[in-house]
Amino acid sequence: MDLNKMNAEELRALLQADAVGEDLDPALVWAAAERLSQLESARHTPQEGWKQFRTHYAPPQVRVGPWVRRIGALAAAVLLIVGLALLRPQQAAGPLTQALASVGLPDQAPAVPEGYQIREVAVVNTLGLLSVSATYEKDGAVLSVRFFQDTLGREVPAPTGTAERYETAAGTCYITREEDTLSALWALSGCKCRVSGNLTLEQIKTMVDSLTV
Amino acid sequence: MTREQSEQIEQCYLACYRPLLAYARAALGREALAEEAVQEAFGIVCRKPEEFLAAENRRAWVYQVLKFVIQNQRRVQARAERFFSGSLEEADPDSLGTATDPEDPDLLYGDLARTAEYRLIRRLTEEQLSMLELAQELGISVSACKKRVQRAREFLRRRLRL
Repeated sequence: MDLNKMNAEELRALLQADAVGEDLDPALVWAAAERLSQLESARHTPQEGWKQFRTHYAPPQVRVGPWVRRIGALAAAVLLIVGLALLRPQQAAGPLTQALASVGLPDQAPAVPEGYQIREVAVVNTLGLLSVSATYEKDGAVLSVRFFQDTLGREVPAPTGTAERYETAAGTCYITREEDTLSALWALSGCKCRVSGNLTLEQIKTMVDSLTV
Repeated sequence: MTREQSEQIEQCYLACYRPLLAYARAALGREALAEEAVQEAFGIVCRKPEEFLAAENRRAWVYQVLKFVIQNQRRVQARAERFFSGSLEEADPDSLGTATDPEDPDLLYGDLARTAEYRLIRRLTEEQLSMLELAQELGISVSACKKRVQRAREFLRRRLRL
C-alpha cells in the first residue's frame, strides 16, 4: 500500500477504519496519520496545543511547601493519637504525652482520679499558638486538661472574682469554682495548664501536684 | 510528576501532535473533538508518567491511549444519540400515555426535557461541543465541566432508570 499515492479522503477512511476497531498495523496507521497531517491544516500549532493542554487538561500538580508538609505531619500525628485514644482508653497517659511531645510541650500526664478514662486528645492551633487538650470521662462526668503553649513564660494573672491561691512547686495556681465545676490554672515551664471538672478540692489539688513536680 | 518527566512528555507531545490530531479528526470529524481527544490522551500520559516513559515505543503507547479515548468517546456519543433519538422535548405530553400505563407516570409527564441536565447533555451530543467549548461557554474550568456533565448523566440515568 503506497500511502504517498493516497489522497486525504482515502487516508481518512483508513484511519477511521482503525479507530472503529479494525486494528490495522500500528506502523501503517502512524505513517498514514503523518501523511494526512501534511495534507491537512490544523487550527493550532503543536506549541499552541501544548499551551492549551497545560491550561485546561493537564492534571493539577500539587506543590507542597515545607510548612504544608509540617502541618500535614502534625495533623497525621494528631489523628493517630486521637485514634489510639479512642481505641485504647485504658492507656490514659500515652496519647496525651505523645501529643504534648509532638508539639514541644512538657510531656507530663496528670494523675486523674480513679475511674476516669481518656476519651479524646486534640491539638489546637490558635493563631500560631498550639494547645493540647485531653478529655476524660467517668459515668458521664467530664474532666478536661489543657496545656497552652506560652513562649513568654509569664505567671498566670490572678483571676477576677473569688479564687483560691494554691502554692505549688511550679508557682501559684488559682482554683476557681463555678457551680459544681472546679478549675485550676497555673504556669509550667513553657506553657500554661488548666484542669477543670466536677472534682473535689482535694482531687484537683492532687492533679495540679502531679503536673508540677 | 518531576520536571524532567514533564519535559519529556512535552517533547513527545510536540513531535506527535499533528499525526495524532489527524488520526483523531478522521475518527471523530469535528476538529474541537479531535483536539480534545488528543488532550485527554496526554492527560492519561501525565497520570502515568513512569509507565509512559518506560515504554519502548512512546509514540505507539500514546497512539493506543488515543485510540482508547476515541472509542470511549464514540461509545458515549452513541449512547447519548440513542437517548435523544426519542426526544422528550418534541413529544406531545398528551400522547405519551395515561397514569394507568405501566410506565412511570412521573417520567412520562415530568419536565425532564426542560432540566438543565438534559440541555447540557444535548449540547454535547447534538451540537457535538467539546468539553473545552462547553466549559468556556459556561465560564467554568474543563474539570468542573466534566464533573457537571457526569452529574447530569447520572441524573438522567436515575430518572430514566437506565
